[in-house]
Amino acid sequence: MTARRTITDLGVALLAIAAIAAALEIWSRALQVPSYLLPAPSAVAARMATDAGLLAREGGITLSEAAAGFVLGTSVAFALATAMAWSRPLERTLFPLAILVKLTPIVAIAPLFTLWFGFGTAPKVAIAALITFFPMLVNSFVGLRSADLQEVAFLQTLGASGREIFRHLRVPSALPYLFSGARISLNLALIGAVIGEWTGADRGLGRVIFVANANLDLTILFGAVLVLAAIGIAANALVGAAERRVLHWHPIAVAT
Amino acid sequence: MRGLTLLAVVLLAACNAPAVGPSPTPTPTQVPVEKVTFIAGFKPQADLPFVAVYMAQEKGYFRDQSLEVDIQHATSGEHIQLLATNRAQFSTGSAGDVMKRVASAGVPLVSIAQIGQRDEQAFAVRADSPIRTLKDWEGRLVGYKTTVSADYLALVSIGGIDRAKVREVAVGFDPRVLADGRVDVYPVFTANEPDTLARLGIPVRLFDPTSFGVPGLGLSFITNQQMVDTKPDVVTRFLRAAMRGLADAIADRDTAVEVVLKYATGEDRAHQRYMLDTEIDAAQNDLTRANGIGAMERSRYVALRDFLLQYGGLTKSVDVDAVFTDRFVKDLYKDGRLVWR
Repeated sequence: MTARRTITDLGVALLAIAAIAAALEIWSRALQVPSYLLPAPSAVAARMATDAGLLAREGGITLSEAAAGFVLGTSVAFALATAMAWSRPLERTLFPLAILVKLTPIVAIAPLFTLWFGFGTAPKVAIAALITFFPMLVNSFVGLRSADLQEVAFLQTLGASGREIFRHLRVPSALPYLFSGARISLNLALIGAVIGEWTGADRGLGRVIFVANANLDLTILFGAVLVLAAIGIAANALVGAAERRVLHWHPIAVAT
Repeated sequence: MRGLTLLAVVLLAACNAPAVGPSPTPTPTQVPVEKVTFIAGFKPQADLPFVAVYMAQEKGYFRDQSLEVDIQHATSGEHIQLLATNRAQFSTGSAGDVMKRVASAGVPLVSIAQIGQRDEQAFAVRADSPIRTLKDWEGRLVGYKTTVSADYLALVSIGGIDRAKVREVAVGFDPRVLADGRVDVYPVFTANEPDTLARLGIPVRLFDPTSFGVPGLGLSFITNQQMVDTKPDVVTRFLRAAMRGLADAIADRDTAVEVVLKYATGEDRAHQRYMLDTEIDAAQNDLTRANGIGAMERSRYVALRDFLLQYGGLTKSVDVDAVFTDRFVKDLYKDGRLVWR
């Protein structure tokens, strides 16, 4: 049943994409839109085929940076959220700092990461981690605090320790929130890696996009954007599958 | 009767008297006001073509030329597309960039006045660096901004550098990587980054491609082919006003910086003055002294094109007559002096 629904959903999505591409193709050909303004989808597809190796290589680099940033950012966020859920003073201390991080325009400070961490992978991972941090922090915190108070009281009457309550009640209660945070953070991690690659990188899809923009080479630019989108969709599907498996007991697993 | 005659003579004389007004210059022939958009190729700052437009706007020269100019600024290269689609009518771009856009993407751009007569980029090392010659780049970390430039490849060739011994790295547009010692050689825009580094306490020495015989050119005013073909009078009037603004900026640099700061709010006054002085210096050579600021010479465009082709700056050749025209700027000057009409 689920597999059939997935195939149907995928089919509908592909049909919608094909319809939009066809409309763009007709429009760009009819109006002879120059490729430096908007390339025809067929031109983008042809370029993607020609440069498939390049896009795959650079996409792999961006994906690895984003994945590392995601793991780092969400791990730190979960650890801090745990501390904040545990302690009101810590919540009051850390939450304003988290908002400060959230409100910092990443694009403006991205060059500083190159100064701090050099030209390698580290600054890209750090930016991806920073951009994923806040959504996971908020989701984790709300999730950990969402445990039913009556259930907490019940476990306490049974003599459960704080650690046991955390492990057996708070974390399971937080799981839907954690998966929700992961979905948001994964896509943000990709964007963070791309931003990192705009400032002092010689590899990755971000650099492909940056150079293509400088050269008005929009076929490869849109090709790179589509590869980035495909990676994002695949990552989301992966999280969705994990969510359904882990939360098979939860109504959300049925809904997704 | 004599009284009436006298009155009539006085009235007639009054009718023919010149209009009283503040304008010290003759008003050009009245033509319908044309609205145009100038989009500077970067943020507001004292790049000389920007200054020319700011000054012309401030002093009313565009108005005198029956032009209503909307001044905008690009932040990430969008000025090229806006110009190509005629959403903007005038902009700025380096001569080399214009050639690249025309050659690679077929964008219908035309350079109409060459303001920067020298290459606008160079390579900086810290003043206390042991790097003295091009050959010393071997074994060093050398930065490039976006892609490895033709300038760099030319210097590698001229200096006999073994490129395999150079570590090349994309450094973007933040000169602090040189200040921080993360690279040994950093590509700079000569008009501002040496001053930025000096302000960080890092004086630099420059390897200037021009001094090694590399045929670079700086910023030019650009328009689109449609304007050249259909509204040449508007192009001429725009350039005439801008060139008068530029002449004023050269004559009174303090005022020019004041005007720049009206657009470039929050920018450092001394830094803007450095930019202005550097670009004014780069805008003048024997050609401009004979023909006026903005003068263009076909042989220099041919040399630039051939150089870019040789070092990979252009992927295919381009007809230089399609990317520049000196017909407008020639019309502005007589004996090297701007004619205001």
